[in-house]
Amino acid sequence: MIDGIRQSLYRFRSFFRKPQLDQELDAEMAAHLGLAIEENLRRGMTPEEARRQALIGFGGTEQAKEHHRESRSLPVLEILSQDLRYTLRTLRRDRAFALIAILILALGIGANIAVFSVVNTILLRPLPFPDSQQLTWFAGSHGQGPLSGITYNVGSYEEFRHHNQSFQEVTAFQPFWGSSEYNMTGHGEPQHVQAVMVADNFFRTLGVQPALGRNFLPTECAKGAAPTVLLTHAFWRQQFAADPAIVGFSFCFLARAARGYFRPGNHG
Amino acid sequence: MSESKLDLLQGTLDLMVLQTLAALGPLHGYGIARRIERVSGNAVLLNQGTIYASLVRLQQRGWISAEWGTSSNNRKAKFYSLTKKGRKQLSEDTAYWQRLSGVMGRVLSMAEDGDSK
Repeated sequence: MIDGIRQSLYRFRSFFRKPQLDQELDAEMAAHLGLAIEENLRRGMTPEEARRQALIGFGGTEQAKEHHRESRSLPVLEILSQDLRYTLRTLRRDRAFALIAILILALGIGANIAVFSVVNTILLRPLPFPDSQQLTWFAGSHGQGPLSGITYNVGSYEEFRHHNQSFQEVTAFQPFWGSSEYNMTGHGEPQHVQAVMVADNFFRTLGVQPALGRNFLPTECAKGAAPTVLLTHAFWRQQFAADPAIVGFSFCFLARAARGYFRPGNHG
Repeated sequence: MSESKLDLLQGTLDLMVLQTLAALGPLHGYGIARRIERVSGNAVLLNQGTIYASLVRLQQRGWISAEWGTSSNNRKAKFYSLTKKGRKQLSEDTAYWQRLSGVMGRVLSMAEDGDSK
């Protein structure tokens, strides 16, 4: 194990010391041939024959060098760096091709990131509520049609809630586009605000607690009860400068004229 | 020389190099290669160049060490010597080869009609 690591380290280091190691091997091989030639001369060969025999005995010098490199270094890395160098050379020679290739890659990567961001937000990332996998959405009309066409009326919702045995809670919200726009007065300049009407148990079902104040009460959901609001954190900070004394404050919400109420195709 | 030379099995050259260094002490690549050729009676097919791949392998494993020096006839050469670890490895590998060749010998000398008992 230790030996294996040690050898890998050596090999890795050898990869970066190639010129030096090659030079050392050249010197070693020259010494080898010198010794062989000397011995052959002593045996009485002519200088030419001594050299020829030494080279035959050694085998291919290039082959031996290649062998040496393979043994001492990481052949995969060497091949990789060779390929890389070749690629860069080719790309430099053919700039138009390189440019197009880089452009295609950039576009491909960009498109993938865009698609993944959407898929991640819509499909992969869970809803920001505790145990969000237990949440179920009931769609009316067999789920056919735009969002405002697959709703239930209040009576059906109350029946569901009354007879519910399969879920911990049944709750509702009002999804219609434009039905939730109000003008708010009573605090500074009149404001155009977006609101969503929800049932009294809506936030309790989602497991959301207001940071200040309290959740809605069932009596506040009864017909004719005084309307109550919960503010989003962003709106609270922006409109009321994060004033905690805002709890219990009264505003006037005026339903805006049904602007866009029946605007076709707007079912966001 | 009419009989063809023996091809070396994987790993055998490394072991021969270790044994040569154990028997002769520090030696340069040429000396090791010549010694193996002579002892084997020129029966193995050894391109002397291949010895250097084996030497670098053994060096990386820490079984031999290398140092530049001067040969008896005043030539600069790299001298290799066995390390303590190499000596231990040599005795292990030798035992392994002797066992293996013993088994091979027995199996190959099996009589044609005899069962393996």
